[in-house]
Amino acid sequence: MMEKDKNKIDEIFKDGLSDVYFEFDESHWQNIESRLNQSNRLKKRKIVLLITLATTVAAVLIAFFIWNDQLFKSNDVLNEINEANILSEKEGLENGTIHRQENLRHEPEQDLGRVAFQPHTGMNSGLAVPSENRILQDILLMQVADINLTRIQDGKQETTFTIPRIEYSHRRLPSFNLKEEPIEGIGERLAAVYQPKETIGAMRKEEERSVVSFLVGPDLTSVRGAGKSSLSENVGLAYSYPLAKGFHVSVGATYAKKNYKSAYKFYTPSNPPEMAQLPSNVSAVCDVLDVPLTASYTVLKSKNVKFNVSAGLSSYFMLKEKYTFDYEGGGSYSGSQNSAVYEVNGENQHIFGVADFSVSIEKKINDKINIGVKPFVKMPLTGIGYGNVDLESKGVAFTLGMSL
Amino acid sequence: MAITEVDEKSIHIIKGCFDEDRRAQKDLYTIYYAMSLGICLRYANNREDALSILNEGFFKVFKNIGKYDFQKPFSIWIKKIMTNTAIDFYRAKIKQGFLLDVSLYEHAIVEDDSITQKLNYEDLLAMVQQLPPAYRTVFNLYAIDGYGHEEISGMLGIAIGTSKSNLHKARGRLVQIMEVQGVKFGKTQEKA
Repeated sequence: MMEKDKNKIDEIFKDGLSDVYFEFDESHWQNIESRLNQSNRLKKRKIVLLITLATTVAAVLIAFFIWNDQLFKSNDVLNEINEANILSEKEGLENGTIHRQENLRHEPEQDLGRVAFQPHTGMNSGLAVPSENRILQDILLMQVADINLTRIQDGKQETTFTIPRIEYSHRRLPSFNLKEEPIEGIGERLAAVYQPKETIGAMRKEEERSVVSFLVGPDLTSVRGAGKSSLSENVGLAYSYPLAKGFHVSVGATYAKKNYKSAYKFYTPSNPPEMAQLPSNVSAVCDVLDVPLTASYTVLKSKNVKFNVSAGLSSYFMLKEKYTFDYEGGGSYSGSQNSAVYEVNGENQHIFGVADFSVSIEKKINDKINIGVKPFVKMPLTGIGYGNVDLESKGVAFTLGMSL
Repeated sequence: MAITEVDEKSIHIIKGCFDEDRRAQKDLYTIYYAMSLGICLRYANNREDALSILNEGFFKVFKNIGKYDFQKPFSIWIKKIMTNTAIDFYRAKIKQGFLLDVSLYEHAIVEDDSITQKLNYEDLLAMVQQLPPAYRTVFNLYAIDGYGHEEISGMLGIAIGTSKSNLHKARGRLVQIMEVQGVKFGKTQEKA
């Protein structure tokens, strides 16, 4: 009996609530449609972010390998000098002034890099003097090994001399007739002849130097899809560090005053205020600290002009956001006025939330100073600011760089 | 009008949804709008919550359309998604239960009199929406959607006994609400 009664209630509600018809409401579809659009944008942003990250990683890896390769080559500088127009052993042997010991040829290469002179203890009774090439080679090796004292044993007679640290900027070395000249003091004489003008390190430094740049310029800021762009200003500093020939990483800080206008439908605030009526348009003025981290590659380079391409990620720190909501036909969430102002201070940060692409042309004024022009595009990877809008910027920056 | 079986047109719409074709998505939404909103309203506290559940449910439908098995009726699949979305919406409250003065609502109908006053959809919906989420969900699942206590227990993560108890309390409270509203529904007797 009791069970039957219970079923009766169930039946009443099942019959009454099951078959029901509602008129389709377009506004409900619009809600889900905007959510689907936002989800698609998020998906695209993720793809752009992944591509940007992959590009940056690839650029850094390429730079690393090129740099490593250069380091490897610099260790092989000895071979380069040997391949230069130094008098050949053959030539030395032909003029009959030097008698070279056969066993010198078989010394392992890695030992050459660490030991300046191998003391010769041969059994020949004649004057055994290392070949000229051998001497020059060893003098250079001393620089690598940073050893300043060398001792030569010459049969019964022991000759000791010191060769000062020598660095060469010349590839062609003159010949010496060791037979006619005394071996003592040869180091000092060589040092006097080959006074270095610049060290190898200094030469490299000149090629790839850190640069601090001051930049200033306008951009056109807009909410993607809104079709309205407003002029904004940027001013900032950037520091560029060379990773390898042509490759730089840069970090900077740019203060930007971003102005943008759009319809309210582009706004999807996380915590929307209670509104009796939705605004029609929004005007925004935002103070933004833009911190970019980019990788650059010098595509073209002449004596005074460089052409670079850059890609990276920017972080936006929203210092101050001021939104003016405009209402059609009056009325707002706070009263009956036609517009309402909403301010947010320091609440929104978007770490690596913007993809940053640019090209730049730099002209060298002198050894230290260069000027440049840098068109750039900043694409959002996440919603920016209180309204979570897709904020894009396209502009140009004028740069003044100083090499360190 | 809902798609009752997977015909050629339905397949075309569903495949369009696979490709995230907005027009196909809107067609699907339009077809299942009434059915889905009906479910959401039954499980929700109010219309606002129901619309949120509807929105979330359709978002899940579009995002998970690739998981749909064409061998089964699409309406069953979408109904299940809406039901689960509604359960998730109130899950914390459902598990938490609801503290009530049980004696007040422990009614049992002792006579099999028929309803003397016809209730319309709005009246019934209003009554169901007055139930606490824990009772309402079990009542909806058992009485209207046809699930058994064991299934309900698994779906809600509650004991079978709790499911039975909540159903009983839901019925009692509905009777009580009817009485308050002056609906004559036989004679009820307060449980000792």
